[in-house]
Amino acid sequence: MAVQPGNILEIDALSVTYRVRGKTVRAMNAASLTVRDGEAVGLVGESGSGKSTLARVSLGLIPRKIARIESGRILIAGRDATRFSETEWESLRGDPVAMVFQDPLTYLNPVMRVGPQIAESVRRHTPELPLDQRVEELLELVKLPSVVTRAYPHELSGGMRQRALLAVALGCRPRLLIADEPTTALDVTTQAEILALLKDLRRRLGMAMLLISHDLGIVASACERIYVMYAGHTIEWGGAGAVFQTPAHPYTVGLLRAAHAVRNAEGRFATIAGDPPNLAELPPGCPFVPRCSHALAECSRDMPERFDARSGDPHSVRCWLYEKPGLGFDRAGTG
Amino acid sequence: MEPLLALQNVSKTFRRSGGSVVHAVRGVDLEVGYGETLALVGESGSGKSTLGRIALGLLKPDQGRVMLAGKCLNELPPDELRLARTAMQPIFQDATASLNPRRSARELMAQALRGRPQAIEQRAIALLDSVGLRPGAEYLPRYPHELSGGQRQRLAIARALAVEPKLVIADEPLSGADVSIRGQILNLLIGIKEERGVAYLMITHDISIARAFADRVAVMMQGEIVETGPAKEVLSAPRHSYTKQLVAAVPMLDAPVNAGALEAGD
Ligand SMILES: Nc1ncnc2c1ncn2[C@@H]1O[C@H](COP(=O)(O)OP(=O)(O)O)[C@@H](O)[C@H]1O
Ligand SMILES: Nc1ncnc2c1ncn2[C@@H]1O[C@H](COP(=O)(O)OP(=O)(O)O)[C@@H](O)[C@H]1O
Ligand SMILES: [Mg+2]
Ligand SMILES: [Mg+2]
Repeated sequence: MAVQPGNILEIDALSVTYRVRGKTVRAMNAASLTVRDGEAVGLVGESGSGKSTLARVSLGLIPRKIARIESGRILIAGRDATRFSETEWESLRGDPVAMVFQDPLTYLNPVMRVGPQIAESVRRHTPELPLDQRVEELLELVKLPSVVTRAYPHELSGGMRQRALLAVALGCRPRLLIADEPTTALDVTTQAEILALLKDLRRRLGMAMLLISHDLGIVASACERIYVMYAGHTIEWGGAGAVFQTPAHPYTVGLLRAAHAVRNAEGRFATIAGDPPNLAELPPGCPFVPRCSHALAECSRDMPERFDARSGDPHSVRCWLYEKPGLGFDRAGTG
Repeated sequence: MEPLLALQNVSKTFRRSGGSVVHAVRGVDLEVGYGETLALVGESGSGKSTLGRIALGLLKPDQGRVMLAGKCLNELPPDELRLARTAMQPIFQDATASLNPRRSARELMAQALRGRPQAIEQRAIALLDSVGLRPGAEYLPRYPHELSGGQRQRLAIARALAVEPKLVIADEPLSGADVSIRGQILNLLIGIKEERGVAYLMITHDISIARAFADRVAVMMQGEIVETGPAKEVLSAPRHSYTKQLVAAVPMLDAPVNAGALEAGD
């Protein structure tokens, strides 16, 4: 595919449902997200907010029997992939878009040594290169010793497995790497090593990354732009500084306060009252309304398209509160 | 005053199937005072869970003594040991694994409560209420799979409290929980401590939680305690190089500057 800088991934008002025991679970609701070439984008939200669905649908990996794209579009490097067949998706996996997951063991072949698995991914995507040399390079890139080529996945530590899976993914030379909770199963020190590796790889390979985590600290430390997801909606996005330091959506504000583990005058930690909504019974309007102390009448009717920061910095929020003048945001298209 | 829990020169070695040995815990001395919250931190594999299991009497140390309220657990006859053990209750990371899936909340609570059936029912409801499963009566017939992750952890906590422990040993009770649930569970533990004066031994790899939640912290590395002291001090200005590394590994978030323009607009 000819590489011209642009949007490697564009999710445009995408809605995805799962049919589960006669119920319709609305996992993504007109969610939008863009990743430009070379850029590190973070996606945060609580578990069940639809992050993994967004990651999987971007690779055509949602289970076709029960999952359905209801509306919206997926563009991969400018091509509309929304209605792609399995064969068409197959041609996009690995190159230009590759993915790593929380549990590498599920995605590595348990009865095959690590070396041949990396070699296979290289062979499929860049057959012209000398194989052994390329495998060596990849191991070096992910900082694994070459003895690992002869190991089986279960013989490796959690951190080494994640590195091995990364080597397999990078074997395809992706323009975009989607990493879905890549460090969640690891302890803090290994987590820090893998994060440092991801940052290093991105810099060296100039590839774009979509880093998904329920851990705000991780995403904040590694990404330039951030999207916040709640109940299948992308509710706020913008530069990492803007979103983390001056959050706009009441949910983002609550989430950041809760993440910032500090006790108040009564000795209590900040929480968000109530529970996340049941995605099989979503009411109309903003899904955060039942937990929101600022909610207005219109919030239960529908969700605004978006309000953009007047400062011109990239920062947008989908919340009716920002219709009020003086809060530094303008309705999209009116500014 | 003697401490509530004292581990004295405790060691534990495991033999792996291949024949190699792991010195999981090496000559550890550790005390938890009445009503105190101690955080035990360290990277995975450093021996925290093994130490926790030894304290709970679930694992016999190769060497050393476990003293609870001045009594040596290793030397107690079985019936006294059982009684002494109820003074300590565990909470684990995975509430699903510690709750029998075939038992309803009513049965799980009754197992822990013991006594006249009617009194049990009332106390079970009160306990469920107190951990935020309200109204408690509505949760009695529910099975673990009918609860959310956060609700299951609350049920596990309610059951641990049913025996009125003096010490709760919590092994990574919040790993995997979302930040909003994390705060709810921590606040629940803080409330319980204020009401009943229980002590906590909180095993965690989350440095920011240890710093904010605990009175004191012990840092474990390769089976040994390498640094202890007031949690805020040790985790804000660590002395030991290993503690420094642990603290530096955690990506820290600054507090959001504004609460959005929201509050200005109120
Ligand atoms: N394969 C699936 N079958 C049925 N429901 C699913 C499936 N995958 C995800 N869901 C549901 O979709 C919603 C979003 O899940 P997911 O995308 O995994 O969120 P996250 O990654 O943010 O935790 C949840 O309610 C989840 O139960
Ligand atoms: N039952 C066991 N058999 C063999 N080795 C064990 C056993 N339990 C723990 N270990 C080993 O002891 C060390 C300490 O483990 P653990 O106490 O679980 O550490 P932590 O809780 O700090 O992650 C590790 O190397 C672990 O592999
Ligand atoms: Mg997920
Ligand atoms: Mg452990």
